[in-house]
Amino acid sequence: MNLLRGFVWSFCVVSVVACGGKNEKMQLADGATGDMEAYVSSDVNAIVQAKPEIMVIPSDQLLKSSNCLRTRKVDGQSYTIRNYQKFLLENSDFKTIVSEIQNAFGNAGFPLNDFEQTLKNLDNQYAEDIADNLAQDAKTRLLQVAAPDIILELTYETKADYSKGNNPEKSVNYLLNGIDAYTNKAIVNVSSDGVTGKDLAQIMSKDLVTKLPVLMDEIQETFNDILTRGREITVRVNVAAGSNQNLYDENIEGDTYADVIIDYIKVNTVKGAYKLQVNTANQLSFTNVRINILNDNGTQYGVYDWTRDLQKYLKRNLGLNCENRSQGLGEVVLTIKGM
Amino acid sequence: MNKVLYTVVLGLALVSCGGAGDATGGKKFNPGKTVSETAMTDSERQSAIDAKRNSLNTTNIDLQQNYNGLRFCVLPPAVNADITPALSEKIALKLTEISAQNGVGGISYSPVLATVVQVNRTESAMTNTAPQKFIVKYDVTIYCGNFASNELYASSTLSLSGVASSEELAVSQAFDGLKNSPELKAMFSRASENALAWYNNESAVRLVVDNAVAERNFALAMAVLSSVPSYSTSFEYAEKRNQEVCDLMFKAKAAGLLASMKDAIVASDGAYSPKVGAYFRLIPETSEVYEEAVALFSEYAERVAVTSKDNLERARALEDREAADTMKMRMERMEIAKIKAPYEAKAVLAKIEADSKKAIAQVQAEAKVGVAEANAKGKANANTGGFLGLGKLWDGSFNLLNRLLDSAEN
Repeated sequence: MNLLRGFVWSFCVVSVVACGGKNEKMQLADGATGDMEAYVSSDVNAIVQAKPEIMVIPSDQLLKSSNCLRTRKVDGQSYTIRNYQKFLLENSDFKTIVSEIQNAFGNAGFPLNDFEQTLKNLDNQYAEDIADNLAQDAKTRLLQVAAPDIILELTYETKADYSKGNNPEKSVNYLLNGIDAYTNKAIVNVSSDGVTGKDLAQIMSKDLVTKLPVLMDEIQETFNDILTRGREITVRVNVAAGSNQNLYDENIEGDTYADVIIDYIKVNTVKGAYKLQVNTANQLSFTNVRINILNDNGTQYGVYDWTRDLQKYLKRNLGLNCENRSQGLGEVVLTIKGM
Repeated sequence: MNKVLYTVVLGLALVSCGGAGDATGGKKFNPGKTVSETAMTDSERQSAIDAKRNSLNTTNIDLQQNYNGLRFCVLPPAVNADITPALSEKIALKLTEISAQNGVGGISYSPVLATVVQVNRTESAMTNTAPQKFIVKYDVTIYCGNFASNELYASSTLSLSGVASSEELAVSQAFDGLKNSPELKAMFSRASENALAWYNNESAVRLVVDNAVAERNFALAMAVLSSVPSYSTSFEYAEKRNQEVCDLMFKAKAAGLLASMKDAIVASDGAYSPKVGAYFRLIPETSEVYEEAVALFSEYAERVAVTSKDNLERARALEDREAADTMKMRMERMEIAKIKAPYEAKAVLAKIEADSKKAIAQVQAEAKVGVAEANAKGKANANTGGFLGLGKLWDGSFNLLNRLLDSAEN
């Protein structure tokens, strides 16, 4: 028994030491530990491999209530202009609320991407690219935007009766919507009506403590679903201007290219999951397409790889030259350039 | 007690090992070789890379072509709601650079051959991204033609697009994309070949020059003759004919010069004025008014007593300078619309008409506006109407004397 007790105590000491439990004053990095070998030899987690970016973004309603949203007509068409920089400068409440949400996700081991920092980073990148005289095209510049995979859109509204004093009790309504940026599907939403208190940040912090676990559970469910049924993506095959071939042209067997692509999708999706959305001579698009997320050797398999395989297939079987224009985690774009 | 202890120890051990039980795909990471690592040996791969590098280093002879002296003047696009003055200048600079790269650029003293650019904004949009982006698209058509023969030698249409955080920046970035391309090389090459063919056809050059002289449009005649390249078969004719036309022009303008000389004598108020001698020297001996000019000048010279050799030489020097200054001064305020607008408008219209009904409708409308405006505004607008309303008028010089005389006549 004593032997067993001695073993247990020794084990405890070893564990504490392994966790950086020294008595002397430590530097921050001294306490860091990790076992890469064990990590690498463990099973691959496809979500961790290609971690979706989640970002909290102010909703249009919130921008409008802060006078940071207006419309402008360009060539007869109305566009909504969102002044995010002004909003972020003038709304410290937003930052406070976002940091609450970020903390909760951070504690769960899934740090969120910060919207404001992303915008600053884009500005810096742009300036550096100019300074370095890098080649840039319109498409590259178009893609230099904050592009989270999951958007957490935040709306809140504060009401207070100032006739009751300078620091009256406030009533806050808020809504946090989780949206898959590629499928535009709402993943989850949490909201509260009429939560009261003296300070907006405190009110939100208090309420989010109860609501965020629900939100994170739903997002976890989304990840579980991806691991089980594959990533849900959209697929667009289109035809370049000036191409000598379109999707209604036929192969030597008499099938249209569109038919050939649809047949390919049936075979190369998880349990044949897809939904045809647009079918014209110049565009074939699908939603609810489920694709694998891992190769057999544990390397990741994403939309770019899927598009690359389709591109090779069309080149080999139909002689079509295509361009792989896929971006991010959830959107396949393949452009037929001709034959 | 022991059970509690064991549980604590087990929990600690799990946490310290990071065994949080992640959801996984049930696969181990074992990447092996990548797809692109084929069965090629290292030396085979190196040879293939060297071969590719060598192919990239091959000199592009297209860049070395030079059309010896042929110059297509770049006319900037007209300023309008879509094209700011700064953008017009930017496009002109870009095209001048591209022309130079293709051996047909540089400063030209004759607008007989010209490059004209037509710019249409085809799309403007904004994204819903953060940050928001402006998107603009333009169709840019570049024409190379011969104003004197009313021929369009070549044209090329490019699509340019720009994306930026503001509309102004997006527009500027769109035109950063105006670069020397295989299409533009081919266009300038085609235009140069056609221009050379025209200059080698002496009868065609003669016809244009003779018609211009018959219409007393000496500026056009001299512009054409001055533009003939030295290696073309028309060069000998052009050299000789240029002098003849020059004389004809002097004769035609002699009366005007005599009047100016008289005005200068009156203005001199009995004192010596180098202007008088300057005008006198520009009057050709073969002109009808020459004798009268000689008499007037002799009388004036006696009156102001420029008789000694020293004084005479000093006076001559002053007159030379005055003549040069007069020409320079007048050149600056010279208007050339009257010799350019009619044939410029006709030049490209005929060709474009055949190309596209849409283009012709637009160009005609713009040409009408351009000509109407030029007529209405006169001299002041001479440099802003433009070639079919597509661009500013060329503001260089046909020929110094020619322009001086035009000015004197007006």
